Amino acid sequence: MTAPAPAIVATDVAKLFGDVLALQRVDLTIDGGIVGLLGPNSAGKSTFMRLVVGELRPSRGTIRVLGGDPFRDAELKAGVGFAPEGDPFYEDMTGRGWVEALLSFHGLEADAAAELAGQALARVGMERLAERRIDGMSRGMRQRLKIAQALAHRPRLIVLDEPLNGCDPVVKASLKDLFRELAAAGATLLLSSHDLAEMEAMTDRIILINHGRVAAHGRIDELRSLLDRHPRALRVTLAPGATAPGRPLETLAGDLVSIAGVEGVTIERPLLAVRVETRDVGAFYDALGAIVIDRDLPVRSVTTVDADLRSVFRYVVADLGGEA
Amino acid sequence: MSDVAGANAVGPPDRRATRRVFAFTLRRLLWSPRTVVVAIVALLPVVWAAHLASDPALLAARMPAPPIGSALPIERITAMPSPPANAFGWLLLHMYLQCAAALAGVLYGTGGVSVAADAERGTLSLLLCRPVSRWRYWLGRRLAVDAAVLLVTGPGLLMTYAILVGPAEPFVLLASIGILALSVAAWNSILTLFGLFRWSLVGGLLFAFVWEFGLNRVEVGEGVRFYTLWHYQRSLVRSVLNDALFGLGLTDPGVAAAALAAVALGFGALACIIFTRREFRVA
Repeated sequence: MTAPAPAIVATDVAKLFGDVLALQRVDLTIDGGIVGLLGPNSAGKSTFMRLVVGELRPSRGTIRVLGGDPFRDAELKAGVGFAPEGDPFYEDMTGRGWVEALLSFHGLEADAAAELAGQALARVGMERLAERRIDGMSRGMRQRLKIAQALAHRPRLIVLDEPLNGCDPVVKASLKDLFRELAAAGATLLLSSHDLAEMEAMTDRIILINHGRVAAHGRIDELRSLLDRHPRALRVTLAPGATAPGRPLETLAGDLVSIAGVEGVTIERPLLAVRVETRDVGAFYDALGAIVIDRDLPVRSVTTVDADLRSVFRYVVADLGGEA
Repeated sequence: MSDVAGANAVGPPDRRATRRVFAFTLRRLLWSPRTVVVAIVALLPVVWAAHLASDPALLAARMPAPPIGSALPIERITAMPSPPANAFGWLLLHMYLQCAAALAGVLYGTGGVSVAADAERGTLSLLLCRPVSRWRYWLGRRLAVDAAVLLVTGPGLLMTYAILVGPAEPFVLLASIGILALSVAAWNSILTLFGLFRWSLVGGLLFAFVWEFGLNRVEVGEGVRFYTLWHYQRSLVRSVLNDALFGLGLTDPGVAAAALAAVALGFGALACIIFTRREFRVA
């Protein structure tokens, strides 16, 4: 028995719209788990997603989805679910009717379509609300409806463009749980988002796209460690009511700036903290321990402030000369 | 059912796909305000027919008179239509083929229910990311447009026939249904081709009521009307319903039928090819 083909394999993919180069030199293999697609507006995220689901054809290169050409091979779409951005609805239909109608295109008879639609709607918390007409639904409900139709037929690859837009925090949390469940069950999820923190909460595997190019892809911490041009930022926070003699923040800052590799120190008085930028994190931690003991400083925490997705994204885009 | 992703992904339903798309599209087309508009237009000839049937003198008055000085061949005189069949032919041509069916084709093939509108709305994305090949999707959708036009205009045509002609001349009914179906196929091939592009409603209206109507009403040259569907519809109605008393400017019915069939197949194939190859993007 042969192993199933990877969910997505893009080889030297480029996409032109007239004279506009929307994507170029995209080489990616995506298979399993949740993968976040990040980038500024008009970076090429949606174009890549639409290439994956076969709505568009590459101008150059090839894209294989579940082993086939998504533009030509209709059959492979039985294993693909897609929720695009926007409001792709017939407003006069009920939510349930819309999901069932789309399921009927998969060859399901009415009762089977109704059963699967009901299960999908329940998973997004829309089982009862789905009887409403779509034009009477809130933005969050529409968003959940889009997600329901994308996963109703149990696809192996689920492509969701900005899936959490317009959802309230409770719904967002439940949808994130759902995405994790789907990934744990074996699905590959390709998600795009403008909200970096939300993306970070769902996955640490990301693809950064900027100006139509894949700026970076991989795990966030791996990406961060590749960015040697940028010093790491750390924050040393003192305990409230620090009783060290003199002015503890200034004392701490003065000591920290003398550590090898430290390139900048900033006092963040409202936070009762000192922010440090260093190129040698190991040396910094070694020296910090000695300073804390010598000065008897009540240090509450030392945190890394730029290993998050937002920082990675900002650095990568800045390195490429774009704007985050 | 298994909860494992992909475990229940239903296999390709391609062979049944056309039927699925047809049923879905037809339901959407018929359950729309457009149907009310077309149904009203399609029922107006029924009222007219009832009015004509109420007075034989009105029916007789509708019979065309030969031009002064013309000499009719004897076979033409013996093949003249009955006044009811003549009136029915007139209503078929002017009220159904050139008005109700044309309007229905524009409303069901272009504008808000067109492929272009679905692309702009984003619904086409969700419809095309199903395991249905594009040409089957197009075929189902196209057949649904034809069926919608026939279902909305057909009852009015049958009622008009029943009121004016009755069971005495069944050939008239069969011929008129055939002409309607052929005309609808030709019209819709062109209109659904428009429907692939933006501003399709404007294009459809210009085609139906400027190109077709204008070229047949305005004297812009004898040969120009051969580029209109209306000419071939008229040739068929006049010939098949024995109303071609003089045959002035008409085309042989066999040629006319072939011309309409060629338009239906040619433009239908062109639209299908464009649909299967084109990338539709949300504006």
